[in-house]
Amino acid sequence: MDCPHGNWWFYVWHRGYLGFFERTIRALSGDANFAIPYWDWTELPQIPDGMFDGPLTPTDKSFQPYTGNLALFTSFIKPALTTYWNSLSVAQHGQLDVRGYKTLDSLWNDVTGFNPSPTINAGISGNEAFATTCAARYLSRDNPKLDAKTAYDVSPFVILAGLLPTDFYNTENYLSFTSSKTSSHNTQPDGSTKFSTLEGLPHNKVHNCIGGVGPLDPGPYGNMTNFLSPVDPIFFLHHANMDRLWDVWTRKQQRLNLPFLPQGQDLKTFSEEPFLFYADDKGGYVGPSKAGDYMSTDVFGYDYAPGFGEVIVQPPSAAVAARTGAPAQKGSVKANVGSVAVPNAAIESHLAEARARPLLAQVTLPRPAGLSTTREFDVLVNAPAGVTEVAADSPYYAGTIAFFGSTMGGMDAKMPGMKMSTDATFAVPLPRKLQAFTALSAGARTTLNIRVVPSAGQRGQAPALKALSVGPL
Amino acid sequence: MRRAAAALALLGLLAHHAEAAMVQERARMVTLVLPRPLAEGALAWIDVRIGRIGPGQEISITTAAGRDLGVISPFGMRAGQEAGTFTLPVPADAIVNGRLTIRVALTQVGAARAPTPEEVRGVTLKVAPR
Repeated sequence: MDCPHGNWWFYVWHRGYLGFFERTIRALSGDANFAIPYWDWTELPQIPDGMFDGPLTPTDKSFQPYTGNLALFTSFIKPALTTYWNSLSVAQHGQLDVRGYKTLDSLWNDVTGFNPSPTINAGISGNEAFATTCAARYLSRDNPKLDAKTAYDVSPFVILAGLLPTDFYNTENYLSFTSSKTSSHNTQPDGSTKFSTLEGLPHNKVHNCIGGVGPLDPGPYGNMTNFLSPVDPIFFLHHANMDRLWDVWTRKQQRLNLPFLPQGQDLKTFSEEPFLFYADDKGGYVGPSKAGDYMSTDVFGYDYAPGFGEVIVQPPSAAVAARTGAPAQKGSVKANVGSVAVPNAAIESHLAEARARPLLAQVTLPRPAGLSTTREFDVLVNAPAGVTEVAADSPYYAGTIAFFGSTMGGMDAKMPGMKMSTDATFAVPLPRKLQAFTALSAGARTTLNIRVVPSAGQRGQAPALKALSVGPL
Repeated sequence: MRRAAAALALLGLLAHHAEAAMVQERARMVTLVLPRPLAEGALAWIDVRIGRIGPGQEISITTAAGRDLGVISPFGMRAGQEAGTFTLPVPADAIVNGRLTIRVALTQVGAARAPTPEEVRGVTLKVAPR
C-alpha cells in the first residue's frame, strides 16, 4: 500500500523494504545469517528451480487456508487490515490520501477489482489483486521460463543500456537512471510519468510475465501482476536484482567520478521524503524514517556477489575495449542446419569479459503458416543430431524464440496472391555455459552448428532456417 | 537542445501497399528518422507515450523485420490511468540509412492489433548526446 512506482524513490524505497523484510526473516527463523538471494534474470531467464519448493511458491497447499478463495482471504486478512488501518497516524493517512486510498474501502477495492464509479460499478477481473492459491503464479516448475518477449526485456542489451545514464535523474528518460521526479513517493503513475528503462522494461515485464499477463485473459492474474505481488516470494528475489543493479550503477558512477545521487536542492528533496510504513523485526514501526536513510547498502550491511552488469563498473578503458568486437560472421544453411565459423578470440572475449558485448546469434525463420500452431522454438548449438528437445539447463540450449499473432495462412486465404514479408529475424544471446565453448577448436575459429526445433511441449516440425550470423551485441 | 526528436508518423503511411495494409491490421507501422547520424558506439532510444490500455494489454515494439525492440507492460498503476512514457534502447544496426521503421502492436492473449492514437499517443526517436 506504500510502494512507489514510476518515480525516483522506486529504488530507495524498495531497498528499505527488502532490508527490513530480511531482518524479519532472520528474527523469525533464528538464522542470523539469512540473506535474500537475488535472481539474475539476465543470466538465468527462468524462475530458479528452488523457488518452486513448498511455500516458496504461492501455489503451495500451505497457502490454501488463507488464499483458497476470496471469501477465505477476506475473513483471514480484512479484520486485521481494518485494525491496522484504524491505527494509522494522520501523517500515514495523508500519504495514503495521495495514493488515492482515502478509505479502507478504496484500498480493498484494489484487492477485489471492484470499480465503484457510477459508469462501471462492477468488478474487473484483470484489476483484482487477490489471486486464488492454484492461480497465484502463472509460471510453474514445468514451465519456468520467461517468455521470449520478457527474455528480451531482461537481455544483456537492454540491461546494459539501462545502466548507461549518467544522471540519477534527468527529465529525459534515456538520460535518467530513475523514473519521474514527483512530489511524493506515493504519487501514482499516470500519463505524465516517465519510466526509466530498467523500471519500465525488465522490472515491469518480469512482474507481469510471472503473474500471467499475456497468456491469461481477462485475468485475474497471479500475485506478481498486482499490488499483492509480495505474497509471491519470488518478488523479493526479483527486487533484490533491481537493488543490485542500482548498486552496480552507483559503483559505475563512482568509478567515473560522476554523481551517484541527486545534486543540490534535489538531494535535500529526495533524502527528506518520509517513509512511514516500514515494520521492524519485532513487528513494530521502524519509526521516523526518510529516504536518505537507505541510499547506501551500508544501512543493512550487505553487498552483492558479482552478477550481470559488473562490466560497466570496470575502468572506461576496459569498457571501451570490451565494446570493440569482431564483426558479425555470416553463416550458411545446409539441410536445415546453420553453420558459422566464429573467431576463437571473439568467443574467448565473450567468455572472459562478463558479456560486455555478448555474442548473439541472429536467426532468420519464416513465420508460422497454414494450420501450424507452433509458436515457440528452441535454438540449439552443436547439439547431436538425435537431440530434438532440450531443457533450459541443457549445454546445447541457447534460448527460445517465439512468434506472436495469427498465422500467415489465414491472411493468404483472405487476400490470395498477396505478397507478404514472411520471415523474421531474432537475436539470441549465446549463454557462456554452451558446451560448444568448453573446448574451442584448434586454430583460429570454432564452428557453431545451429538448429531450431519446436520448443519443449510444442508439437510440429522444425521451421526452415533461412539465415544466421553470429557476432557481438 | 539535448532532445533530438525525429519524425513521428503514426498514420498508415504505407496503406497503398497491400503487404503493408495487412501488417497494419495487427500493428501500426511508424517510420522514424534520425536527426543526425549515430556516432560510433552510440545508441538511439525510442520514447513511447502510452495512454489508457486495459488490464493484460501490452505494447510490443519490433522492427519492420520482426526484431524485438521491447515489450511495454504497465505495472504498479491504478486502473484507468494513462500508462506514461517508456524508453527503449535501439541497436545501431537496426537503423538503416538513418531511418527506423517500427511495428507498434497492442497485444493481448496471443492476439495483436494496431493501437488507436489514444492508446499509443506518440513515438519519438532520440539520440544521446556525445
